[in-house]
Amino acid sequence: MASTDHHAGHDEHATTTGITHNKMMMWSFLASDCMFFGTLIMMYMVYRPDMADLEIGPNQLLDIPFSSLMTFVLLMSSLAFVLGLSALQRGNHAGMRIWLSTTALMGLLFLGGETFEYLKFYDEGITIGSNIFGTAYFVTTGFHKVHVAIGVIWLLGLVLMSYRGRLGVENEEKVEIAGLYWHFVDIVWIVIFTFVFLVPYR
Amino acid sequence: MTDHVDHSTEHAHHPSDRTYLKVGAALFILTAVEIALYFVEDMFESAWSLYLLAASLIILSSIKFVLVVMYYMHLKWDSRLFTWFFLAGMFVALAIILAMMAIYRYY
Repeated sequence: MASTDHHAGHDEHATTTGITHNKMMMWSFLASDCMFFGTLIMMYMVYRPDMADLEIGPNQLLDIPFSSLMTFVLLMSSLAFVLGLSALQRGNHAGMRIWLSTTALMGLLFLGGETFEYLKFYDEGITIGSNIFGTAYFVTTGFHKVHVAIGVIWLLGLVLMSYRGRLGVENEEKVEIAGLYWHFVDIVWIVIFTFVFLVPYR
Repeated sequence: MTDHVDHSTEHAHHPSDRTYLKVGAALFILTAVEIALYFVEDMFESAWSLYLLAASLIILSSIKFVLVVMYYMHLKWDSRLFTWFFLAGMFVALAIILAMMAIYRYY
């Protein structure tokens, strides 16, 4: 009996595919999120040619150097995250906390920078309801920012768990799953930055 | 011999910091090239340079996308099932994008 209990406890996470449910759930969510952001970016691209005729539109407002800097911050936050995961895998908890906090800080910097952009747009009279550019831009980047904000909270939660000693090397999958989400947010921005900011439209 | 195999398997599951840094450097360089191209194109303002810029940007950002997914999200080493799941999502997303663009832009 004792042996059966032990066996059941040992196989707690065993699945027919050999893949843990949590990781599978995250990848399924990311697949669905692809469709979600795909439609948002599509909406921007569909209306983008009409925006060229606007008095104040993307041609006047989008600040490429500033957004490039924000893109750089987000890309490097992904690097900081994987270095944190790698530190945890080596059992270096202090290193993991430093890298994960750095990642969260970079996420906050990105959110701050983008909020600064929003305020600049607002000063020019562009709001979510002012014209087609405002609607498409704020809805697309706004949903991305919500994702970044959730990611920052998640990261800080992991750092807090680690401080309380509840995030050991055996829990590395928890960090890895948070990483999958964070990197996904990063690749969505790679696509948004290209199609919303850089690619020229007529 | 066995030790060696075990070691390489372990290594395959956890890429080294060096690999992560290399990918980070590649992402940085690719982004810098994208931005440089954007400003270089401004000097030409012709139809061909516009199309060339759009095509180069799409290719460069696709490389960045694949680098992050393969190395940072570990799909290069993880179960193939995850890759198929993600590709399925991407495929449906792309299908929606193309269908909607066809409906709203060209009809």
